[in-house]
Amino acid sequence: MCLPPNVRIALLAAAAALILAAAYQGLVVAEVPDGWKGERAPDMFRTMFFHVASAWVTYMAFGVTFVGSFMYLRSRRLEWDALAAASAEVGVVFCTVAIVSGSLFAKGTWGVYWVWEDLKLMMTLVLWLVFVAYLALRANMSGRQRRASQSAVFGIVGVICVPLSFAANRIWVTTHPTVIASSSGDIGPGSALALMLAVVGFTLLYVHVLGTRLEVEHLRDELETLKSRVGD
Amino acid sequence: MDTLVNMYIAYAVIWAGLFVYLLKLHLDARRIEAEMRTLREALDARGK
Repeated sequence: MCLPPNVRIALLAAAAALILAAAYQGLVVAEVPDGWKGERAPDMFRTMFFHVASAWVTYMAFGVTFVGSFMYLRSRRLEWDALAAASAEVGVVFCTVAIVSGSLFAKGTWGVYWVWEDLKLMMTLVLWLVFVAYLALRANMSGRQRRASQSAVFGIVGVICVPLSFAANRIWVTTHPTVIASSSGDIGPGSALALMLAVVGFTLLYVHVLGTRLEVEHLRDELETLKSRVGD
Repeated sequence: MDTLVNMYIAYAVIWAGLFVYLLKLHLDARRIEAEMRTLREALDARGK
């Protein structure tokens, strides 16, 4: 499942180009919509692109963990477990980025870093905690098959938080705005282009980081095999 | 954020964190490869 190094370098270059294009489009070219004309709001709006893109990658990464976990339980092949674990780790990194950038966004627009009553924020925090627990569980478990089985079940159950986090602001009344697929939240064509560039750029960055993380996992396995041969 | 500059500094820290994570992964890979080379040499020396 490892990506060749030249493919990973190409992905990183493409991701960097797209994220820079998104930054230019979002910070310089795109018009701020009418609903964002307050004192600080235009500046905060321009930072929204990277927050949304990192949240998208978070959901995708945990979705890949679900697929890897499910496929492991079906096939008992450790490659699927490695994919699930690698994607969960990368997902936690991007979820951290989404939460921190969201807090900065909240401070600029709502005046506070965190609203404890907001279900969107709380579900995302729960999602982050679930997958931090998933990684902690794996790190403290011996036996590769046993670790893979138990973390696969944990990974499948934990993914329930993904739709809840994504849909919280659509199902319940929250302070968090709905940017995508919202009749009231039209962001205009310039901003939509910036958002699309950021989402595609972050997706390619995710694939690059996931490929690198899988390579490390693969090398660790080879190292363990070599160590056991040396020990014989 | 009190000023826009503070916010951009915070964003720079976020990006730096992402790159530190990526760098850590690359360094881990190179360290494991070096360890594997040493082990392979040890195995070759023992004729395995």
